[in-house]
Amino acid sequence: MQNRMAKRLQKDLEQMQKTYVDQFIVKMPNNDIKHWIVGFEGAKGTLYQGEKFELQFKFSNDYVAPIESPEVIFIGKPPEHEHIYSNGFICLSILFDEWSAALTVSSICLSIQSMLSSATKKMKPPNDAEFVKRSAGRGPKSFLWSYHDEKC
Amino acid sequence: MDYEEEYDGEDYYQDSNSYYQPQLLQRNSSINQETLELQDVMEYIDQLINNIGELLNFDSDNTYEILMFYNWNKDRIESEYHEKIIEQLQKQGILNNHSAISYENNTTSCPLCLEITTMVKLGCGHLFCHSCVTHTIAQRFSKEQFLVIPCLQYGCKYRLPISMIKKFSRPEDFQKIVCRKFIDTNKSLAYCQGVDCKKILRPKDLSITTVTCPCGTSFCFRCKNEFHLPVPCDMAKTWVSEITKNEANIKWIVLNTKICPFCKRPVERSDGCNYLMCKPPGGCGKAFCYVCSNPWEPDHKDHFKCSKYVPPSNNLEREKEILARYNFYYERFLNSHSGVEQNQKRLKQLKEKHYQEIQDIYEVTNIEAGFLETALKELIQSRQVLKWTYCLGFFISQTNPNSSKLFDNYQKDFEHSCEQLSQICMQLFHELEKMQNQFTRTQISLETRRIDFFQRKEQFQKMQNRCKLLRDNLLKASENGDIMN
Repeated sequence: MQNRMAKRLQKDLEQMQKTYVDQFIVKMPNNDIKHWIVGFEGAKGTLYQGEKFELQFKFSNDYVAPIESPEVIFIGKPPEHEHIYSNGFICLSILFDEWSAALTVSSICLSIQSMLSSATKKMKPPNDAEFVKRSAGRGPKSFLWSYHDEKC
Repeated sequence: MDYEEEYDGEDYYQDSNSYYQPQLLQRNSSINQETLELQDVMEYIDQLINNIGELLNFDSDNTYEILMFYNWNKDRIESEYHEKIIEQLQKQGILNNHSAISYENNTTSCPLCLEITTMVKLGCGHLFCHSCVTHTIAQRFSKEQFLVIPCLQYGCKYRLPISMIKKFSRPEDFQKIVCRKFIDTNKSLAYCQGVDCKKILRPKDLSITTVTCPCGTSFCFRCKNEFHLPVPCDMAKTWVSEITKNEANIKWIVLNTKICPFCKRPVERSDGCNYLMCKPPGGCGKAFCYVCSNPWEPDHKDHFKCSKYVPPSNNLEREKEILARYNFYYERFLNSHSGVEQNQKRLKQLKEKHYQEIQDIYEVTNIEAGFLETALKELIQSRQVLKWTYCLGFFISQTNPNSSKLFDNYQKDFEHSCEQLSQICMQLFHELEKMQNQFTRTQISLETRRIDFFQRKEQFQKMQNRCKLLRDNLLKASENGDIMN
């Protein structure tokens, strides 16, 4: 199983490095295929132009097929966005309920980038402070997410 | 929606009747319900699928989808079904064409795991390997999201047919999840609420509110909560929501300890009885009442008097009074609750060790000592009813002072007999403890010990019958509306 997982992640990595090399920079800090850090810049012509962000991907052992979605959060300073909490958690349905095994790392990154690009004003989620306090010490996948709007 | 019609007259249940009867007769003399296993429910579902499938001219996959869409309600399908519905369901992606499915397709690379192996071709044309499909199904099951498993391709609206899901899942998992969905939407079936009990109960008719599983768990069939007669479901719900507002630790303190009125130390209750001794070493050795915290001597010979609430005369303090009254009844509710729990513990201990002790000390058989188990069970049942009478007491003392008086009488007598039964229980267990000492035991001849034991037995049976009588009276009175109106 480990082997299959590595194979799939290897392919995702190749895709990132070949097709999206200008857009995303992939790092593996511990040389561990299950832990990625993807750096990217806010797209031109959007509210986040020029800002640099980093996403952390953690793949659980259940990512075998890959059946289970990876855990994706912003590290460092997260963008100020309606669906991104100050602790880096992202409210995006494809990361939770609507996860499909056919989604790749690059498709997740593109979704998050497009979520940022479509923002019309910079604002924090309405329940940010309360949520961040409540989520201390827990991973984003331990929550039942309710999506604030259709786009999210 | 009428669920009764759906099952009455089904041959299936008549069959299972004759099958289950012997087992039920053994364990439960008053048969209110049937006990079913998952297997039985599954058989019923299969039959339902067959019938509906024949009626609508569908294969079993699409019959499943239709039944799930209509929440397993056969009558609704029969009344609402017509050709246009089919078109709509197809548009919504509920009915799918599964003719393209092939399980042994060409060997190619799976788009998900990239493994080169035999592929499954879904009705929508997408290809995946066996392992990816199996894992996806298992993961959907474990999230309890059930049989709606969309195509693994992102954005594809196709749903995997039941036959495929069944093929790629473990039979026990499949059965569990299909039955769960069926039972959850079915008003005449319910899972036993007992821990680790997997039985399914079906009352003989829907007017029955209390069901008891062979595992010993009783619960209210209507609201699926603990047994709460004589209180109706909605009242019990209000009461529980009232209780949960209170802090958990306050509850623990009220439930588990009482401050000794003599030496002011907190004392934990060890038996269901209201007689509390602040036991040395550590305690002062004096006795007090668990309910009112007053010294036991001299006026607690009839220790049931402390269950009647006397409201303060000052009308200006009305609000204070409501709170005080609530606390009053709440405390008694919790007292009884802890009583039930202690008695349950005792019942467990009885089976684990006391039977053996009784055999050693009195040289009686387990059958002769069996009355203890019956008595404890009666006590548990009675205390459970008593517990909920405090909830009822709270509400009717508020709305109807007249029936409240009548009710107080019922309650008083009932509580008294519960306490008496509880006390003789406690005395016997204390006696057992004393007799553990070999020296004490040899002081008394076996003959005397046996006489003592059978005297106790007689007392037990008398008190237990009285408890049962009063309990039945109280329940009957509340059922007939004597108390409530």
